[in-house]
Amino acid sequence: MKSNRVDLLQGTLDLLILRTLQDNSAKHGWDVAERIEQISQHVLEVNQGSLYPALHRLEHQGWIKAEWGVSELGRRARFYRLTPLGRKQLAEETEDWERLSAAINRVMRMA
Amino acid sequence: MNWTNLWLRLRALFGRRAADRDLRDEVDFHIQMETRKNRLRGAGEAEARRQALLKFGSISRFEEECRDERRVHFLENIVRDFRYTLRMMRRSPGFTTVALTSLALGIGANAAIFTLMNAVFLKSLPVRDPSSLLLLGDARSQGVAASISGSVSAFSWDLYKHLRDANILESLAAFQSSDNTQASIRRAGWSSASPAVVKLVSGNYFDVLGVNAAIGRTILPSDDSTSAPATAVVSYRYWKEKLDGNLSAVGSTIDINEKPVSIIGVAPEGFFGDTLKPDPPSFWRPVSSLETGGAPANRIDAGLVNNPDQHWLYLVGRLKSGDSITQAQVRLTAALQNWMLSREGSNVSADMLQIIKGTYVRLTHAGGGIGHMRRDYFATLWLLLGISALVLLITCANIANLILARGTARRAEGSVRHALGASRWRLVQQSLTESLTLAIAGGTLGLLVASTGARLLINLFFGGANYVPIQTEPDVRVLVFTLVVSSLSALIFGVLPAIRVSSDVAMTIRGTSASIKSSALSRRKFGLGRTVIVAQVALAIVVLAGAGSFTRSLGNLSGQRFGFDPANVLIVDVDPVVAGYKYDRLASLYDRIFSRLNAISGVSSASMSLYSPFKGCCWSFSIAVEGFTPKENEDDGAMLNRVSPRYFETIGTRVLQGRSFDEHDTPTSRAVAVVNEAFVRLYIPDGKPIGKHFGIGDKSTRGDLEIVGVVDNAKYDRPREAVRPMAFLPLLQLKPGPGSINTGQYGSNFINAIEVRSTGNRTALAAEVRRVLAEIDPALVLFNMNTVSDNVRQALRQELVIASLAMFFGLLGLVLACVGLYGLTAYMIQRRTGEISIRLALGADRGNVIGMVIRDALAQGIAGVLIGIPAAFIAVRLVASHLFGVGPTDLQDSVLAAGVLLLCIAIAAFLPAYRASRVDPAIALKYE
Repeated sequence: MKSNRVDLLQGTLDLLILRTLQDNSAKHGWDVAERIEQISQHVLEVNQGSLYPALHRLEHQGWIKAEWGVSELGRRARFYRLTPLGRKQLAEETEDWERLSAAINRVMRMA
Repeated sequence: MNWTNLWLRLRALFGRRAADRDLRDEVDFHIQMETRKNRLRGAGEAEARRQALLKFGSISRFEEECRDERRVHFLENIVRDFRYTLRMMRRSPGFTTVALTSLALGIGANAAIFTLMNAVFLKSLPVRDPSSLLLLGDARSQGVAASISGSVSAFSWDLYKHLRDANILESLAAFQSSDNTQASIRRAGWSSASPAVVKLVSGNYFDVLGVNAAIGRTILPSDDSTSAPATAVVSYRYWKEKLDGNLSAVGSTIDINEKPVSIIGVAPEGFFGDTLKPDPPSFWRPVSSLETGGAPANRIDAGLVNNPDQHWLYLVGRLKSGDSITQAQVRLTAALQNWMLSREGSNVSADMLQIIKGTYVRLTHAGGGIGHMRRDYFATLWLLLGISALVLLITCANIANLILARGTARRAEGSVRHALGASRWRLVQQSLTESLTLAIAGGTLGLLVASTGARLLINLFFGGANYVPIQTEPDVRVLVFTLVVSSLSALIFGVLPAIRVSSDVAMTIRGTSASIKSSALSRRKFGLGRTVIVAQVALAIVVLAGAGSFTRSLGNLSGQRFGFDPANVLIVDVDPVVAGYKYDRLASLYDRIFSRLNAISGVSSASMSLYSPFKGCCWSFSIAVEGFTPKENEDDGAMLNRVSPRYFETIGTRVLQGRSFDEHDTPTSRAVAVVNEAFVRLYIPDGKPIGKHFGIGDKSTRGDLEIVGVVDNAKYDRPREAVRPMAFLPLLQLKPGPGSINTGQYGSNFINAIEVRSTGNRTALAAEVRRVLAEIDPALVLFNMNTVSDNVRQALRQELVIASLAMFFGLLGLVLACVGLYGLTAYMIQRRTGEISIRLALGADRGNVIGMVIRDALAQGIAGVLIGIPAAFIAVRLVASHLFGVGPTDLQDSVLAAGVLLLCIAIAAFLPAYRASRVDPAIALKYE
């Protein structure tokens, strides 16, 4: 069966997580994954086995901040929020990504 | 690392449980959200949850990865692995006991030897700022020298004062160079005198060393004068043990060599003087007490202090601040040469000028102590450390074997853990943690072994000493050494099992377990075990070859022809100087001793002498022999001894020509001498010595002494060295002429030893000799009573210690290697039971199969032998200078060791192979 899903490029998951958190609202892990899948129209599926390690990694780098809160289910959940440092990082990575994708697009069209 | 990060890590480390709970909550929440989403899409409750879980994947691996992101897993894992290891150790007490015991012994032996090395080579003297304490010269010569040249180590009292007053160094102190200067000590209330070591030091000695008295005061420069009252500082140990640690001892009076001396202070605890040696001084006295009496007198004349040409003192001092060692050396050398020039007067000969120009002072560091013991024991201790290190390697190999064998049993566990998400590195890390825990535990136990072992070694080395100032409790250096050795051991025996763990994982993933398939792989799989076997065989051969060489070397040394008969001769140390005798009273004393001792029933002969065999020999003199002109640089010296009639008879040296001394050789009769064969060979070219003359000193003396006899060569000092030319003179025959009473010849008439030959009971004889001598003069202190055999043994003590320890370690290594080889070989063959059964089921001949298995096992042993024998050859060559009559080409020990090891392997291979061959193939296969 041919899947219409695409594997994430190495390292892009971090970028996507940061991007989903850009709107300043705190989100829990499931939310982040859902958001990525919905916006990508289910082309990108976030492997949850790598989502949480990625979240913890970003937290360790000081780019996102985690806090416990109460979710819509009325349950304890961990919410992530972008830090100023993460915002800077996101800007840099976005720029990198745009340069890279533009370059790839050019090559794909011209070559 | 920023602060948030640090906080997260710390929280993760200390609140591991909380962090894990948080993680689980987070995952649970995610699954619930996902389940809810699936429900909303219309799935049933169970199905919705199943899909959510499926989508999430392996939760435990995920948790592990999250922990990895927390980055504290390293520390956290160590703690957990450590706990796990302790659990595993408790669960297999047999393995733990064997491994810990052998490690404790192996590491302990190394640490024990290091404890001695630490004390002898590394520790500083217990003085102020030891690193800035400098010695003039290198303390190579000891005793009294009549001249100085080249690098000077010994100085006369006059020369010392000249150098001190030249003010080149910040401070300069002097102390006597010779050891073993015992004196008789008597105190009011004591029934008899007892011997103790007394050391002569200059008045500023304690000040220069920076040592204050524990009680009272130390010797001051004002005490060091003939007009000052007689004073002494007592050692802390002597004060505690002999003076009952009584405060009133300070200020009280004791008799040293029959002269009243007041004790002015107690040296601090742990202070043993300037030199680390067995039986350090119990008393320190000012140098000038030599003249006023009450000083140690063995071989030190009262005239020494005032004789500027008798060099018998070592000097230590400290630099002036800002000076360099080189500057000080230059200035001291200049001052020394000036002093020598002034001694020569106005008409100094060209030769003498040459000598003076070549005379200099070198400064060496003295903070570690004056180095006799360092030099004497340097090679010995390194040798022992080398041997014990090899044994530790064998021990490590054995433990690696055990772990490998056990590791195979735990392979399944490893696979399961890997499947549950443990990375390969985690498994390796755990394996290493286990090894390290084992090694550290073994090392800790080893520390207990070490201090006991160090005490044992001290007893072996210095059995004759009452006290050796070496602390055997481990200090920081010993602790660090033990830790390093333990960690290295863990690395050595832990690395192979760790490699094995990581390769096992790969293998189990392919679904291979202990099976016939694996026996095809057995060569590769047991490759590590094979390496261990080869290494173990090679190591054991090296250790045993070394042990054998040392043992045979000792046999050669003690079994050699000494030139005397050591059995049944009692040597009594005496010192008439200590008992207050002057030269003119010696004749009657000697007469009485000679006649009374020879009259004891059961005594076949008795005699007296200045030196006796292996008791520190002798004075070396330049001599002039009739009819012999030494060529340039040719030796013109001989060792001198003074002996009474019947001396040669008593010690059992044969008289080859002429006669020995008798009662007709008196102070007034013709001056005669007996020489040894080496003397004749060197100095009497025509081989007819009887009636020829020689003298002590320059050419003008050559008619002084007539040779009346020749005796067999006898070794007097060093068991390894060739016999030197030696001349014996009768007691009390002085060189004619005035002034001779103050020369060394005068002192040489005071006997130091009495020899008694008897086949009777030694204890009874000793008591009888003691009684007779006390009757002759109760003031005669008997310092020691030994047999010549004891003295020879003492001279061979280091060799004996090396040989017996090497043999002990060698046999230990052999047993360890055999046990290890047996275990591993048997284990490896047991694992091949299936293969053996199948071969037999397919029609192979039983004998052939067993033979094949044994050949296979022996092949590794032979590989070990092929490495071990050349290695042993190299090892023995490295230590050749410590051997006597044994060379690296004496391969019998290596070959014997190789034989034993191969036999051991063959037996280890045969038994399980035979057992395997009896197993019904059907049963063997069922177990696969």
